[in-house]
Amino acid sequence: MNTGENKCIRYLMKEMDPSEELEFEQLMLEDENLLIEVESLRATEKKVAKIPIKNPPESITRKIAYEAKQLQSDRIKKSRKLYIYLRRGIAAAVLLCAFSGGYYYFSDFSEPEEISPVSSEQISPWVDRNEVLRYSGATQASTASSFDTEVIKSYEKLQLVKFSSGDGTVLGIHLTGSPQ
Amino acid sequence: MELLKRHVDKQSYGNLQDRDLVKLFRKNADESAFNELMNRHQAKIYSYIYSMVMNPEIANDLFQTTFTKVITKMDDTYNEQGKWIAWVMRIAHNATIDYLRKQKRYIDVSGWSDEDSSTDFFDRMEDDSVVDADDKMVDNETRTSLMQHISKLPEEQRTVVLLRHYYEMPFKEIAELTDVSINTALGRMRYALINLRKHFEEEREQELKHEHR
Repeated sequence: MNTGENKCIRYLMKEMDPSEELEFEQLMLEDENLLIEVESLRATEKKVAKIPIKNPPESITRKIAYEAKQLQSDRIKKSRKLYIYLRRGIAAAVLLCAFSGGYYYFSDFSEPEEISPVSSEQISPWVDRNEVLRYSGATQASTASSFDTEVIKSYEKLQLVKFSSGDGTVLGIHLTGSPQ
Repeated sequence: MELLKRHVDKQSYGNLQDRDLVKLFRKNADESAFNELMNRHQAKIYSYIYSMVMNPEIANDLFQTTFTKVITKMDDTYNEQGKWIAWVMRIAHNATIDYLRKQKRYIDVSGWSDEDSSTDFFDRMEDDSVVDADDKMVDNETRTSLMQHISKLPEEQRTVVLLRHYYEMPFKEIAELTDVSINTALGRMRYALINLRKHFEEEREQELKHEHR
């Protein structure tokens, strides 16, 4: 499409900026054919400006207005319901978080203190070639009693054994159910 | 928004901008706001559709289709930053073009040559206070033949002429709406005016021939 030719339309439709308009008017003064072309298009455009306006039938506009009102009212009602549900959901979630947080916080202190296992630095158990569990080491005074309880409980599962070797008699603990 | 609503009585809707009326309708389903929007733009939208399809029943259907889409899509696709009428016009234009393409025909020219339909069309027009009797006659002749000539234009040229006429739409917007460059839109307008000039000249020649006979 020729942009030079389109200038006529831009001029006629007042889509030129003032400086461009002045320049184009100067061109028209110099070029008679351009002036005739523009004036001819202007005359046609003037006729086109008489295209009539027609209103839609009133029954249709009334129907559209009624539908619009109904549809928008329904939409607003739905969004309000959704908003209420959303608000309730958020409130429930907040409450749930508060309760579970509180429960966790308080139950943390009421639980019985767990017996801390004796560290491997204090007791180093080992199993010999006859599958006898041996241990040696020292316990701290604070944990000694609980450790003793555990050891006493473990007696039920352990068995004292005595066997001879080349160096003499050896004492040991035999795990219940293990082959001798 | 509530403040806006409180300060707006029924008479002052006319002073509000389109975007405020749209807000009132969206937030409160305000019927008066929607009616004001309709009153402002319905004639231009209907005239555009009518001038494109040249058939009152089809124009009614397309007008209704356009507004059904406007109502249902206003919450989802209309961006309040843009002009409401430009958005509605795009819907009207797309609906009209879809119809024309489905029909694979442009216009029923006979609708315009039909005496009844042209009378019905022009009966609704406002009188332009024509002073001179000769001018009035020329005007009437021009108008009766004008729509026939416009209906003979290729669809894309007709679209540009009507969008420009009914909406005073800048060519930039016409170009965006019709998915072409500004130069193409300007070119289409130019060719439309040249074609119309030819049609008017042919008509004039025929009239002269009749006079000589």
